Amino acid sequence: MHEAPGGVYDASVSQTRRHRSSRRRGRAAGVVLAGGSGTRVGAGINKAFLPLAGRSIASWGLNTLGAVEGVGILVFVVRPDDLEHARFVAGRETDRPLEIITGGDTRQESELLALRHLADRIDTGVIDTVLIHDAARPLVSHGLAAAVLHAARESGGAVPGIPGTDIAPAGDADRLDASGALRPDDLVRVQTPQGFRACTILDAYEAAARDGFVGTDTASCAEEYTDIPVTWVRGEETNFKITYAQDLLLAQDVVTALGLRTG
Amino acid sequence: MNVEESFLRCTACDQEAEHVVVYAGRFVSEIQCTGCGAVTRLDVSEEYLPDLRQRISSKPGRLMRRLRRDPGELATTLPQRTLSKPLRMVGEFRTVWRSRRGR
Repeated sequence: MHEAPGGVYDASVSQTRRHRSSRRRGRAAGVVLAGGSGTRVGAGINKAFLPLAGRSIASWGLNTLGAVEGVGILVFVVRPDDLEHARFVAGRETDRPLEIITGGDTRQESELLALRHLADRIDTGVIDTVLIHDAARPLVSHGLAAAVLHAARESGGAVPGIPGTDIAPAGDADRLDASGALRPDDLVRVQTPQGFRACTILDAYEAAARDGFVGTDTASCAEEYTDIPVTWVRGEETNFKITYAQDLLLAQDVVTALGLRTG
Repeated sequence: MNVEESFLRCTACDQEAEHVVVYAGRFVSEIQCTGCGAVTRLDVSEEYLPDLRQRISSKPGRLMRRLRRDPGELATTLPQRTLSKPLRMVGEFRTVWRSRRGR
């Protein structure tokens, strides 16, 4: 394990080997964010490290992104307190080497730090696309991640989305908005991984940091600071975020039903 | 039996609170919200035995992978883990039995 300046930890390989390896495998980087997932003072562990069917929630997404053809680098963004857990994941639960870095206080800061970690390789063209994923969405499928990567390379930016046909706009008090200004057919529930042209999204995050802009996700920052069209590909209902305690049970049922059990 | 604590949103009280998650092997068998006390119990007895068989059959492969990756880590942790395994298995069986009785 190597420790570099700025609190950046390399799980297993040297920079030179990383470059060679990434060229051989592809030019996309997968970034998995576990910076703020379920963390409060006094809490036991970050929910991204809760076991799901024998291994941590975060490791599911890491392994899925790592198996996508074209993804050559995996960056795992964690809190400083979670470094030991992250090293365990890198050593025992993932098939590919991880580059573990510490994130910031917000999701946006963590994304910026991940992009800065990759900046040299983005500038030299080693990385052309980044896929940014929430660690709390363990059941993203290989097909969905590959589709987002493909769409991001085609258009510059892509997110998975579920058509929001079951969404109704809220109006005043407890009433629904019947004005028709927002049509459910026009809405999608956005998921991750979100894919973007690397150099464009790095510039966008640097500009957002200078302006103090804080978006809700990668796409919101891209929309604010770039002119690339963000396309959406059909997301998956099973790619839900573990938020409620019962989501953990649901994820466990999905793993069992789909036969996704590990090792 | 393995017990973890983490912050999750509670389905009952809709608050972000620390939850105690009890595992029987690889399965979540109980979740308790420390905020409102709501408990969800699952009977995992039917899934447990097939999964245990799978864990046993895959154990040599998993040990070999750990040996290849980090022989030092395996050498230092394996003796203690081996000695404590029977006790941990008893704890697992108890948790599964409790989840079955709680149906």
